[in-house]
Amino acid sequence: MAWKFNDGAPIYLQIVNTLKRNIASGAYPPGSRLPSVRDLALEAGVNPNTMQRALSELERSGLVNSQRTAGRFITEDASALLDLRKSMSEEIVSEFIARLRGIGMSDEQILDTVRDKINSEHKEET
Amino acid sequence: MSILECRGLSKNYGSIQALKNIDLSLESGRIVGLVGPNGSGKTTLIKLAQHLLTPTAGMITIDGMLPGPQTKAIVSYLPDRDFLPQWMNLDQLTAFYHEFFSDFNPAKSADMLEALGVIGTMPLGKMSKGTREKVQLIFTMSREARVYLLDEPIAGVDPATRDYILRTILTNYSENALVLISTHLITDVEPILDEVVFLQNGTIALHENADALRERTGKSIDGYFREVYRCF
Amino acid sequence: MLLKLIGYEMKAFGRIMLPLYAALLGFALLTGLSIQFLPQDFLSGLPGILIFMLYGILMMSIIIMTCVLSVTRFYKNLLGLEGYLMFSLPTDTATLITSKVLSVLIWSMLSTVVSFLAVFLSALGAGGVSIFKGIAEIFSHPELLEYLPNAIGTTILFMLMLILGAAASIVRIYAGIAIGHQFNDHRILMSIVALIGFNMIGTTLSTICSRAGVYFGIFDSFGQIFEADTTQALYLAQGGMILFLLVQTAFFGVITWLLLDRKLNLE
Repeated sequence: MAWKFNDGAPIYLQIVNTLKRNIASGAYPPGSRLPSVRDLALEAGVNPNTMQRALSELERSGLVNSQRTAGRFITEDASALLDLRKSMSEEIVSEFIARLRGIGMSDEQILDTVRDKINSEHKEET
Repeated sequence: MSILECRGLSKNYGSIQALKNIDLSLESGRIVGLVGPNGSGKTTLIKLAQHLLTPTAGMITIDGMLPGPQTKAIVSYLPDRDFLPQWMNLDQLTAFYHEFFSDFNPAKSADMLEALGVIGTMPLGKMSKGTREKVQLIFTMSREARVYLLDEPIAGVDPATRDYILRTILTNYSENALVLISTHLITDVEPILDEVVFLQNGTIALHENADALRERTGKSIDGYFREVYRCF
Repeated sequence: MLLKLIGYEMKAFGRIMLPLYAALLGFALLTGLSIQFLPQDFLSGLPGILIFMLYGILMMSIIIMTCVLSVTRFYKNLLGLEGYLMFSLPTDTATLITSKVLSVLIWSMLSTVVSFLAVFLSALGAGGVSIFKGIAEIFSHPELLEYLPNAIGTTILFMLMLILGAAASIVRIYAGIAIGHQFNDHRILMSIVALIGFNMIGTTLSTICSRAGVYFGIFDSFGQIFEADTTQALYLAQGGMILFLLVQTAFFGVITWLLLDRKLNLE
């Protein structure tokens, strides 16, 4: 029912990250209307003021536009969405690389493993 | 702006000091956690706000008024006991609330009772403990009050009921109302809180925005209190 | 708010008292009819004794239940767990206490009326219409009507005395309970101790008063008034009694109010 939150970080930041993931994945498609603060807060099981703060954060980063009466909409700006995906992949990739280095893989080996995996998945599809 | 205010508030029980010179100001539109170990003064503070106790020194005001008939008209209080007449059934209880509380919204309670499947003519005393607790919360939250005082609403309830209770508090959120939840189970209420007031031995050890506290300490509120105050 | 609170007490009492009233009146009629229509030796038979016993038990239950509810509606509803609800209503402590006292008075009067009605019903059942003839006969003596105005006057004062007397006793019991409730343990025992204390103080005070009365010659002057004009003396005595009961009610009322408003100690 409610979203899961980790102990350490502020809840509003964790909400921002969840919403960003939903925007990047297309669960909230570009140009679509976001549920109201109240509904989102209820869905996440968090305080409406916390949800409000998270949404303001998204507005500031340009991923969400607020239209006075109609509500909040996901941006249709393709470059903003691209930036979002890039910055999110950067995070994922750097964590991924750090973990592989942690188990003793060289950078060459990491690249090879990734390439092989992608190629084999393509073969399976065809 | 502040709707609940304490100034130099103290309460003694004989030689025991339950609250010591408390200064506190809480605003509308907030959900505030009143947390602290058992015996730290949480219930005493709530009872003082409802004139079930009178201060030894200092004062507590609600919307600028001392606790009395006018404040009780705008405060919806959920004690940590079976406080409703056990011989009443839901219809009688609805009639009672409708008659005595002008801010009671019967449509709201009817909706919530229906959603929960609590129906019939059974008196409260014959209902299960869990159902009774839900009924008490539903009637408390069905008043369109300015202040909700919820004393240990989730203590001793099963996880499903707890989720329902927290959800009900969120569903009824209003910018014009203050919700004060006293609890010693911080983890469960953490996500729904704006602010935390931490009581220890009758004094306010901490009063801070919930997220700011998490950001500052890098811990959950529960984790922080466990570590710093070695309590719970 | 007072009326709403009394209305709520009507429901709380009524759900127990009304069935009892209905049962009593039913049995009263049944008893009367059995006496009239069943054989003469009916009362010596088992069914007759049973009906009569039930009638008696019901009569007793009504008296006992009225007393029990008068105390428990205060004790449980204001000082028990329900107190959390009652003291959260948008009203003041004085109104809450007043509503309890007035409700008890109303139900005591209802119980009295119903008991008389039951006796009347059983007599009606037993004797048929002939009973009315006896009542009508009293009013057929015009010389008796002369006394009517004074009789009505003293009767009204007497009723007032009864009601105030009941009010004073109820508020005294409430004050006792309120004192007993200041303790965290043995609350009922301490309430009884408080009530015994009130009684002792009351007895002492009345002894002092009567001694003082003799000393200052108040009784003598009252005796003179009594000899001169009996009716006036009667009014004076009743008036004095009413004043005394009013003071007593107010005194215990204030004690109860102070304790419930300033020193409430809910479990």
